[in-house]
Amino acid sequence: MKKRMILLTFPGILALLLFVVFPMVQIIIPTLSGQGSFGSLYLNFLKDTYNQRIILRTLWISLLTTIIVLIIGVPLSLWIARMHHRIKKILILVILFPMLTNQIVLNFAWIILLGKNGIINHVLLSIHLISRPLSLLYNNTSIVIGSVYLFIPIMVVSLLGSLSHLNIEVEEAATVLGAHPSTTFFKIILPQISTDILTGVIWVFSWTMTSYTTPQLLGGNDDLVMSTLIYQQAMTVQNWTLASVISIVLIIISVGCILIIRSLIKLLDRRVAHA
Amino acid sequence: MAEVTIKNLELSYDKKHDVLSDLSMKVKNGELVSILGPSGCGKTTTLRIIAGLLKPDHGNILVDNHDIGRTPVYKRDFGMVFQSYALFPHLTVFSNVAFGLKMRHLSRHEIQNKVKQVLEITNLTNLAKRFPSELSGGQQQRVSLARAIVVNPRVLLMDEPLSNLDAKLRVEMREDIRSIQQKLHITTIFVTHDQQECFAISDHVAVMNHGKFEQIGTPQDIYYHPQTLFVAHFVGYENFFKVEKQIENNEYQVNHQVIHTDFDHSYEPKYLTIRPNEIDLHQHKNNQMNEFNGKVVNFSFLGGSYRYMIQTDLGLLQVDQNDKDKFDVNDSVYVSLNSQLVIPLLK
Amino acid sequence: MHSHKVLNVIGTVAILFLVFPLIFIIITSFGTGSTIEFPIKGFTFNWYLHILDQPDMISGLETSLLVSFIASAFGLLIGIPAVYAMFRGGIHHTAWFQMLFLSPTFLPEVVIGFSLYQGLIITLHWPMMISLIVGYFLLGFPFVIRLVGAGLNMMDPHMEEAAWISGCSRLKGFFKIVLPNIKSSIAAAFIFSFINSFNSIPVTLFLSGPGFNMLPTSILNYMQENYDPTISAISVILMLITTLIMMLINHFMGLNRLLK
Ligand SMILES: Nc1ncnc2c1ncn2[C@@H]1O[C@H](COP(=O)(O)OP(=O)(O)OP(=O)(O)O)[C@@H](O)[C@H]1O
Ligand SMILES: [Mg+2]
Repeated sequence: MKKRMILLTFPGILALLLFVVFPMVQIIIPTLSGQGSFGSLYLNFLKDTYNQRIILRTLWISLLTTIIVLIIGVPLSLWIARMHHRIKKILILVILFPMLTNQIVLNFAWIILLGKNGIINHVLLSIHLISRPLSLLYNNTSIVIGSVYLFIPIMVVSLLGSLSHLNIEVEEAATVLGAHPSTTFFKIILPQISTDILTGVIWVFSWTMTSYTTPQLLGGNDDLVMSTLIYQQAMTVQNWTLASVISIVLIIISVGCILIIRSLIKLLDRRVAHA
Repeated sequence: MAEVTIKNLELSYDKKHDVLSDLSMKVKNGELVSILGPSGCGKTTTLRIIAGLLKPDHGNILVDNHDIGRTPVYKRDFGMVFQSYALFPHLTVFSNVAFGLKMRHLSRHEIQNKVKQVLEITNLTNLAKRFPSELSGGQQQRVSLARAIVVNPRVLLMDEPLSNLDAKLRVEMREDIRSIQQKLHITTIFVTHDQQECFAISDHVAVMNHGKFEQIGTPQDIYYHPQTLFVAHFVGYENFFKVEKQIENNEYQVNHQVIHTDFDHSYEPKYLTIRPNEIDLHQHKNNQMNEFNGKVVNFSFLGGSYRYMIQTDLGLLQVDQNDKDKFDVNDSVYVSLNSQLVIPLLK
Repeated sequence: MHSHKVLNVIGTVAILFLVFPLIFIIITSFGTGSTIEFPIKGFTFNWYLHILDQPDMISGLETSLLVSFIASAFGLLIGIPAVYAMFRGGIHHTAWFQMLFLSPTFLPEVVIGFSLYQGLIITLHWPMMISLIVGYFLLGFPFVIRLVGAGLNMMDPHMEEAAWISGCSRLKGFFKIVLPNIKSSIAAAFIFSFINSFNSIPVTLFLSGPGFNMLPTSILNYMQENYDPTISAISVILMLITTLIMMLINHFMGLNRLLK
């Protein structure tokens, strides 16, 4: 019985071996031998200051995005969770809509808004706040804005479930005991959803770090991040080995970050697991 | 420690149906007053208004004669024990109890001392490092109590704090609550729908029905002298006689029969009532006052006694009788109502 | 408790932040100017008609829909038996299977695209269309495992046993009892893998090329040379597709369930 059951998983296993494991091995092997000693390709890549700048830029953009998403997303989720039923449903629709929409559309919206002839410049010019259009687009800031826009819904979705299940009386108990609403927010509500926040952080951070479309469309040509660098090396320069090296580095960094946050969650788990 | 006055509270959640209407009450310094009533009558709502968690449509809450309607909840200096306990799941027992003290910016040393003291009173000392999820129901309940009293609140509010416990623990805990409350002399409002529980621990009881207080009085008052049909029903009266007219000072006509009573005849009762166990049941006519002939319709065993349904000229009566004389269905019997135990109800 | 003022402000601003950019796209798609402008000077539907003059976009839309559909169907075909075996087959070490099956979620999309490009197109000389179906399959497969797995977990296992006792074979029981009870999860899994494939950009960029146009690539190509309301118009079309998808999700599983 069990043996026959296991047969059912074979197509899946075969598919993933062939389409994930084989291609990954295929791109890893040349990066290991290469010219020179084992791992020299990686060392060379990491030693280059240009590459270091790209890695740091990628991390910086992801960090900044995550922080802003947190600052906006956590109160937003709480606000939605405490809304009246009908309004809540509409707000959930508003949150889900961007998640299911093509990223080209979402990024294009910011091109319209931030561009030289864009709406924001138009408004600022017409109220004479500026005399020449600002260049708001094609820099790190525009990447961060676009990413924040993309990932706020992710944060909200990871928090909304547990926020809706919080026992309101716990907060009321704090208030009766003399806690100001802001104290209640930071000392009572946040700790109860800390693991969900960290889960949201994992998603937002790693997806910002690996996302391609936003830096491609909203970033400048000189401001590559790791994913756009991979594409450039692979398809424009056709330096496949280097593209592979960067791919592996990107995976290691993003999985590394995930693992760090995961272990943080484990630490918090003792108390929250029972909550 | 303070005196709490509730004045003409009114509230409706949907602006159509009143949940509370014209609710007034006074709780004296250091007293424990219970609000007793059936599910959905508005007990929790009243308590939340007193705490400031809910704004009434009309009416005032006074503490020591100061209107606190505009004082935000967190500045009222109250303690509250929630029905769900509402412990902070991410904090240990110690930190849960210390929370209110931290909000009051006490020194670390003072906090340590006070928390320790309260944990001792509530028998929680060895559990201080546990998280709420690692506690039993009764222990959680004690933490919730400890957290509320440690700040030495002006007023302690308790919303059915014992309803999640098993019968034995309930009795234990209610005695603990009473003794702590008396030791610390905290003005307390205690919500419950359990009659026995509230009689056991209260100085006064306010019986609530449909958002109104039906009667406020001592437990003995409520038990022996209920004033309304609802209260009488709630405290165990079963036989109600609609008064048709007052014949003489102490004689009332009920179902074309006459019942003699002993209470002050300046009352104008709408109903007369008597408990099932206060009616005397016997086989032969004794020629007593208030004696009526009847027939056993039906009976059931209550444990220690039988409850008989007896059809009489007064109507169908419920009579409790221990098993010294056992009657059967269709037996002809006589019931007599002790005139001293017949009670008037005003509505 | 009364919702706090600060919360109201942040919430309202954040929602506006999410909604406004999309509204601007819609408005600009009706503008009469030859480039995107705001406020628009006149009102026209011409840019929507202009989409029809872009053969790349039209054929791209068709192939995108087709390839996403095929890939999602494959995902279900391969995923459902695997999930059933994992959760109901009494197999040990299901964690390992899960890790393998969910592994595409841990790989950046760029890397999935690049590695398939290397492995399938360069090394195995597979045609682009097949490679792209594989790529989309990988994007959707984890959804099948997750959503169908969740649906199966929520189903009372005794139900199936009751069917066997009443004389139903295991296979028949699967089709008569299990499938009908997890059909909303299956529908959800299909919709999610479909929309994820359809919206995917890096994988599409790696695995399509001259002569094999997909919708995202044709839009991106158009954007490189033009800045006119056609892009707004096609964006609005994509938003309509999103709306349709949301209606489907709501129909099959209720949007609220997404947040459990
Ligand atoms: N948030 C609310 N919105 C609308 N109606 C409510 C709300 N809370 C309570 N009610 C209604 O108000 C009435 C009183 O409710 P309340 O919670 O005060 O009852 P209670 O006496 O505490 O009952 P219980 O013993 O069951 O706890 C009930 O009819 C209830 O349905
Ligand atoms: Mg209640």
